[in-house]
Amino acid sequence: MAKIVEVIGVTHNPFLPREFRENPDSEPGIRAAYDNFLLMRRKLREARPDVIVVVASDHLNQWFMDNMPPFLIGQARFARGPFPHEARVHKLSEYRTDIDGDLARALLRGGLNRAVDFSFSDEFIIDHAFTMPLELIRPEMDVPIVPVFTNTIAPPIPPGKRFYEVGLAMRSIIDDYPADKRVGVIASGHTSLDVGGPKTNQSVDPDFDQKMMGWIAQGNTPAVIREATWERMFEAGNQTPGFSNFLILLGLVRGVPASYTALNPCRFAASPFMTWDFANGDLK
Amino acid sequence: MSRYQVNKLLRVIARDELVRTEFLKDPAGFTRDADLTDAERKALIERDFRTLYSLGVHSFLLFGFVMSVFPGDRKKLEEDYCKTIAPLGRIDYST
Repeated sequence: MAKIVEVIGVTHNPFLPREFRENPDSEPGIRAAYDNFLLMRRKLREARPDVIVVVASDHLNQWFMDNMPPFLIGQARFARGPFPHEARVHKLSEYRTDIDGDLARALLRGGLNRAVDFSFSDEFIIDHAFTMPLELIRPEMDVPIVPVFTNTIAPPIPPGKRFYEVGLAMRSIIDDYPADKRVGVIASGHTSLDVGGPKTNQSVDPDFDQKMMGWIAQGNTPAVIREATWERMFEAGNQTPGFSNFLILLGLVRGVPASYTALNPCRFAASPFMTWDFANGDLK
Repeated sequence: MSRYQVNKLLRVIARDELVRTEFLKDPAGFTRDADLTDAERKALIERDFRTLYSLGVHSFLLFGFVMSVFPGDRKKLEEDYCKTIAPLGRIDYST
C-alpha cells in the first residue's frame, strides 16, 4: 500500500533563488530561508519518496478567467516550467520531470468518489509556484511528480475549509492506493503578501502570519480554517489567499501539529516553512 | 463587464515582448478593436494605472503590466505604484 513519507509546506517567492545564489547573506531572513530550503531538501531526501505530489497555485500563467479550475490534477506524461517570462525576470532554472500518471488518475478518480470534482489537464506548463520549490528541494529532477493546481488568485476562490476537505480526500485516496509507493508532498504558498496592492512585495499583516503559523505548529486546525476566508485573507494582501494551499496539507495530515515550522521575515514577504515528518506511514 | 478584456490585454502585454512593443508603438491602434469601455481604453492608452486600478482590473496583472511598460528604476517604479494606488484601498476585482 502507498504511504505518505514527508509533507512539506514552503514559500514560492520567485525572488529567492537568485538572492540565494548571488547574495545569501544580504540579511538574516534570507540566510535563514536558504538554510530552511536546505533542511527541506534533506528531509525529503531522507524520506526517499517514489513520487512527489506538488500542490501549488498558478499565477494566471497557465489558467485564466476564460476557464478557471478551482482544483486540477495534471496528468500529462511530464511536467516542465516555468514560463519564459518568469525565467527571464527572476532568473529561474528550468525544471522538468515525469508525471506519475497512475497516481494522478487515482487522485482524479478517487476524488470523484469522495465529493471532490477535480478538473484535469493533459497539457500544461507548471509556473514558478511549482518549479521554484522543486528547484530548491529536489534539484536532481529525478522523482516523478503529480501536480495539483489550485486557484487562489481569481475570485471567487473556495474557502479554507474546502482546501482542508480536499486534503482529507487526497489522504484517503493515497491510503487506499494499492501500489507500494512512498509519497512525498510539497505545497507552496505564502503568508500575507501583496503583489499589485498598496503594500506590494511586503508582509502586509505580520499578525496574521504569526497567528496562522502558531496554530499550524499547535495543530489548532479549526482556528486556521476559521481564519482562512477570502475576506480575511484578501484584507491581508491580494496574494494572501495563496496560504490556502497549506490547508490542503492540514487535511492530508488530518489536522495534527506540524513537526517543524519557521517563518523568516525579510525585505520581501516573510517565508513560511512547515513539515510533518513521517516514519513508516506514521508521524515521527 | 469588460474588465475581463482589460485583464487579457494587461496579461499579454506584460508577458510577450513582441506584443508589448506593438502596444507601446501605437497604443491607440493596439486597443482600437478591443471590446473596452471608453474609460478603460483611455486609461490603457495612457498607461494610467491609477484609473485602471479604480476600475477593478486584477491588481496582480496590473502590477506586471506597469513593471513591463515603464522604463527606469524598478524599485522607484514600485514605490510610485504603491503610493498612487494606496488611497484607493482594496478593490474587488472579481470578473
